[in-house]
This record gives sequence, structure tokens and C-alpha cells, in this order.
Amino acid sequence: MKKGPFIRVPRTTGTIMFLVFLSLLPSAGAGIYHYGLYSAAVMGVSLLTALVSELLWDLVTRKKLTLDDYSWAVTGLVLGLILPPSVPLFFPAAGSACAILAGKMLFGGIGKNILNPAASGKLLLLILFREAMNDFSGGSFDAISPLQQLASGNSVDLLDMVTGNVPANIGTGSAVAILLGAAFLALTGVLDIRIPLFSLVSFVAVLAVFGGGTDIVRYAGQICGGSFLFTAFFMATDYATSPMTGPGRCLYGLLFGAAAAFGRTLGYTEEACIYALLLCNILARPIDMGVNSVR
Amino acid sequence: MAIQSFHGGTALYDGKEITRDLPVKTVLPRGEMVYPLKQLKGEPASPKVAVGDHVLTGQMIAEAVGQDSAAVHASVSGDVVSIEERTLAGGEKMRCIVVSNDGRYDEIVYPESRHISGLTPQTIIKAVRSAGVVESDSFTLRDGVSTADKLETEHPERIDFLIANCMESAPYMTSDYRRILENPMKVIYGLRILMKMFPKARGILAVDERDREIIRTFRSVLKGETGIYIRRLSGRYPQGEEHLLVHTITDRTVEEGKTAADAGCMVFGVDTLVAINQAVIVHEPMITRLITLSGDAFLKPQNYRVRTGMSIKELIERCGGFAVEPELLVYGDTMTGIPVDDRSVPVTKLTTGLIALRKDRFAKIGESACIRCGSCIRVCPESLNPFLLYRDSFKDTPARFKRHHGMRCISCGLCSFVCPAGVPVADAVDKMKERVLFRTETEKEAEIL
Repeated sequence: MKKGPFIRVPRTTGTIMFLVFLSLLPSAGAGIYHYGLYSAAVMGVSLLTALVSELLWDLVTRKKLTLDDYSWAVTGLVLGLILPPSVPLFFPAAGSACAILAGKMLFGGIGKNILNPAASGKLLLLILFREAMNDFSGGSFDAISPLQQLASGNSVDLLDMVTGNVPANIGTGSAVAILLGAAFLALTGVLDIRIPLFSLVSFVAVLAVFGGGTDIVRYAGQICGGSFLFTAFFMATDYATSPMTGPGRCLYGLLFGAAAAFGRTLGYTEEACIYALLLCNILARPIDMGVNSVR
Repeated sequence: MAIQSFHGGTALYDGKEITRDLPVKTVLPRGEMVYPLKQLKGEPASPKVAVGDHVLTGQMIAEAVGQDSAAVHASVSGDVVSIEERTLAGGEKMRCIVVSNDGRYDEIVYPESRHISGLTPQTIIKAVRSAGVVESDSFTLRDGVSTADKLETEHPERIDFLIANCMESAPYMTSDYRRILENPMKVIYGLRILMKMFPKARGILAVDERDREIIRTFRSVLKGETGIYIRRLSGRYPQGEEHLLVHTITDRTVEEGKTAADAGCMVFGVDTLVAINQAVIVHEPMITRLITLSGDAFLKPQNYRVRTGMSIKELIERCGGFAVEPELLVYGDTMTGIPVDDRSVPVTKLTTGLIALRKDRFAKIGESACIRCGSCIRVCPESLNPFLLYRDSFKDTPARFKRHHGMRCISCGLCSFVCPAGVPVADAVDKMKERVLFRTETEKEAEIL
């Protein structure tokens, strides 16, 4: 016999995913604006492959279709946004298929995966095509990202980094676009601001510890570059792969920020955030278990 | 200044405006009346009448057997048609006394009214017990509690707070609200009677701070009365839950496995206080209920005073029927109630209301996989982890369930309410609580054997 409650909040998983999708659109728009229509093709291929992969999986395993929660759309778009602007189109195809199939469905579907699906897709591509994945040429930009410039001793324009007028991945270059989307997501109650906030704190702290000095421009550059903002706001906050409790999330944020900063000091300028994220993903469930035993 | 002391909870659409400003209407049934013999955990009541007997309104037709058992009274005059199994609102089949209604409502001769000054605790308990007064148990939503058993607490000298729950947190329900506006003295007298039983106790009227009318009414009738205080609490659901009331008003926690009495408090609903007053002063047994019929499908949503034993089908007809046939008919409120499939089930002493909704908006959403968003954890008023408890319930691991404090759950339903994936958390945890209780009791019985 069906039991109460018979009233519920109108928000479903699909509604939440849709809001996340919307919050990614400013970054997508900035990517197309700066790097041209080819970026749209990259994102499009990623989205389509995500859809088809999940559909095929559901059909082959004879499960109920899971497409209506739109999580495939978020994974597809996120993967597209974290790829460099002129990668060959089989990159988003392979990455997206890996993200959906290996990163999510193989684990048992949404909520059961340990690794962020899009991050695992990008990991595959980084392993197979490291050079191409670090080549940020696209549109009118050359191949070297601002952080890579800084690493070899050149200087960069901070304002360009903020607006996204720099070589970067399609959606991770424009701090403004990211923060706009993040603000929308926070105001609609989907984004838990604790994770990005605590990440920021530990990121700056660890950078300072490892000889950061007091040049604010340098810190701002590290924050705006190398996908840190995008990863902190849109990927570390993924529900399924982050802790569920308040204290857990704060700890998770601190760990992510610290790991990312540590990765940067070790020299992984562009990939530090993805590796840091995947590491923290593995720690998310132990954090949950630890917090619960203390409660 | 309103006080709220629990984490979580939520403001929800409470549907009160549909029925709160309409007066209570009395409806007398004409059809057959069905009285279940078992309303509490213990033994069913033992019938005192046989088939063919003529009974009068107010007559005791079954007597309580031991603890957790309550007397049954006829709410109409008529003849006993049968003593047989009938289906009740929860779907279970139970032995009931079925009485045909002769429409005359001839009453038994009631003894002379008592006066409050002459009351002793023994008189009070005896009167409450023989009137068959029962109230709902906030812990498991199905069974009730015998009020007399509750009053016969082991350490009456430790009770220093008698709390009248005037919050009516349940959505759509406005019977308490109307009762207080139309008849506040009965509630106050009920509380006064209990204060005679527990002389150390203060009487507290716990009201929703948004209910200005109620506060005004109480203030005007309490002029010159000492010992009874009004406490205004926030209207966040489920502030009206017993354990939360105790904690908010007295700062004491009800320990797991214990009752409010162990924390020196007793919480009573408005209808229980009125029933106590009626039982003790005028010897009237529990034979009427104030029921809220609400939702958008009824033609005349309102509060109705009805007789126990009346079928839901007749109740709906006599109260004007449906404007539109509802997709969802709920016995109880929309957070903790159960759906009605069989409308021949009777109104009982624990019925609070009937909600008819034209559209079952959430039936279509269905259930999908948990996304680990943590909303259930944030909303739980008892600071539990519904995610873990759901897993413990699903996997049926009672030791883990108890370790995660599953037995502290107050069945408010908020975890299911907020879940975006539609996971039936509250239902699973409820069923697990019942299984754990059942196991504990069979273990105890096994030990005795």
C-alpha cells in the first residue's frame, strides 16, 4: 500500500540537472565567442555521444530508461567544456562515451559512481593524448595557456584571464562566465557554496606555504587559470561524488583546494585540478563514513 | 518572539485557508456503524453485548482487557447486527461490533456531573479509562495509546510540564484550530483536570506564533487563571511533534526508547484534552470526532463533528460529496496519512481528517535512484541520517539501524518530502521501525518463555 507523504517538493533530479545545465551555458557561450563555432561542434559531439551511450546501455541492459534525469546532458556539456578548443572530434566522442559508460553506468548508474564522470572521460584522453590535450590553440589564440606562460617566466594580463580572452579549455577560461553561472546555481539552491569556498581558502593557503609571496596578481592568476574555478564550482560540487553532510563538504573543499595547489607547485599546471578532483572523489565516501560515525 | 530549537524542518504549504474560517458543522449518521475492538497494541476489547441486543448512545459495548486496550462505546442507539471481521482504514481486517442505527440517538442515563474541586487522581484515571479515551502515538503512526495508561505514569511527582499541543502542524488539518476558537474552555478545563493530577506541573499551551486568533482567544479566557502559560512557537513543520515540543519548551531531550514522561513532560492533543474533560466531568465517552474534510475535491470542505463508527462513504455523502472525483483520497493528512481504497472503512477514535485532491501531482513522478544530494540529512528534525537509515532498512540490518539512531525517528515524513529522486525514505524507515519493535517484543516474549 502506498504510503505518505503525498505532497513533495516539486524539484526532481531532472529539475536539478536542468538548472546545472543552464548554469553552464554562460561558459559555453564564452567558449564559442572566444574560440569560434568549432567549440560548439566539440560540445555538440560530447552531448550527442553522452545521450547515445546512456541510451544504448539502458537498452542493452534492459533497464528503465534513465535519460529523463538529464544527467547525461550535464556530463556531456561539462566534458565538452573542459576540452581544448581545437581537439579532433573523436576526442569528445571517446571521452564522453567513457564518461557515461565507465564513469557512471558501469558503477550502477547515477549516485553509485565514485568518480566524476566527465573527469574520468578527460582522464582517459589525458592518458592517451597528453600533448594534444595541452595544446590550447583555437580561434585566434596560440597553443600556450596563461599558466604555462607564467611557468616559463612570461607575464600575462589578468583582465584577459578574467574575461576569458586567453587560450584555455572551451569553458574554463572565463572567470566571469563561470561565476555568473555559479551565482545562478547558488541562488536556485542547487550549489552548495561551501565546497568552492573552502577550496579557495586552502588553495591560496597551500600556494602561500609553498613560496607564494604576497603578489595578489599571482594568486589571482593561479585561481583564474588552469580550470581551477570551473572544477571547484561545477565539478567538485557534483552531488554523487562529494560528501553529503555539511562538515564533510567543508573538509572536502579544503582537501580539493590543497590538492590542486599542491599539484600546481609540482608542475602540473593544467592538469592539477583534474587529478586533485579524482583523488578527492575517492575520499568522498570515507569522509561520509567518518562524519557519520562521529555524529 | 517565536522559538525554534530544531535543525531542519521546513515551511510547507499547509492548506489551512481552505477550512479554517468555517465553523464546525455537526453531521449525524443514518447508516450502519462499525466499531473495531482493537485500537491499540494490546488485547482487543472484550464485547459486553451479543448479536440482537439493543444498545444506547454512550453505552459501553466492549471493555478493555489489560494494558494497551481501550473500551468501546456505541455512538448511536440501535441493535447489534453482528460481531465480525471488517476492513479498517489501514487495510487490516479486524473484529468489529456492527450496530444498525435506529436514528433516535437515545442516550444512556448519565450520572451527575462531577465538579473539578472534588477530583482525585484515581477518579480521573478511572473516568478516563471507562470513557475509552485514546490518542495517537507519535512514534508509530498506526497504533494509539490509552490515555489512562499514559496518565498512570510511574513517577507522577516528576511531571512538571503538561503541554497542550495546539500547534496542529499537520497540513490541511484545522479541527484543533476551530475547536479552540469555538470552545476554548473545554481545552482549558481538560488541562486543569490534569493539573490536579500533577500538582507540580505547569500547564503550557503550545501555539503556532502565526495563529493570532488562537493566541487572542486563549489570552482572553485565561484572564485571572494561574498556572497556565502560552508559549508561542515557530510554525515550521514539524514543530508540533511531541519530542520537538518537549525540547523547544523545556530544553530537555527525550532519550531513545524513552517517553516524554521520562523527561518530566506530558504532551496532549487538543482533542484528547477535550475528551478528558468530557469523560471526567460529564462522564461522556469518546464517541464523537472533529474531522477536517479538506483539499480541492470536496464540495464543502469544512470541519465536521461526526460519530465514531460512521463509514467514510457515508461521511463523504453526508458532508456534501465531491465536486470532482478525486485522484487521491487520503485518510489523515498529506504527510503521514494513508490512501483510502475501500470507502466502507469506519471513522475511529483516532481519525483526524480526510483529504481529497483532484490531481495526484506526485504519483506520476515515480521513484528514481538516490543522487546523494543530502537534502534528507539537512531536513531531518531529529538530526538523523535518513540516507543511512534507508540503506539499513533496505538491507534489513537492525543492529546498524539502531546504531544510527533509527529508533529516534518521529515519522514526520520530511525525508521523503524533500527527496528529488522520489526515494520512499520515510516509508522504508517506518517499516523498519515496526520490524525492530516487533523483533524486540518477540525476543522479550522468548525470554519469558
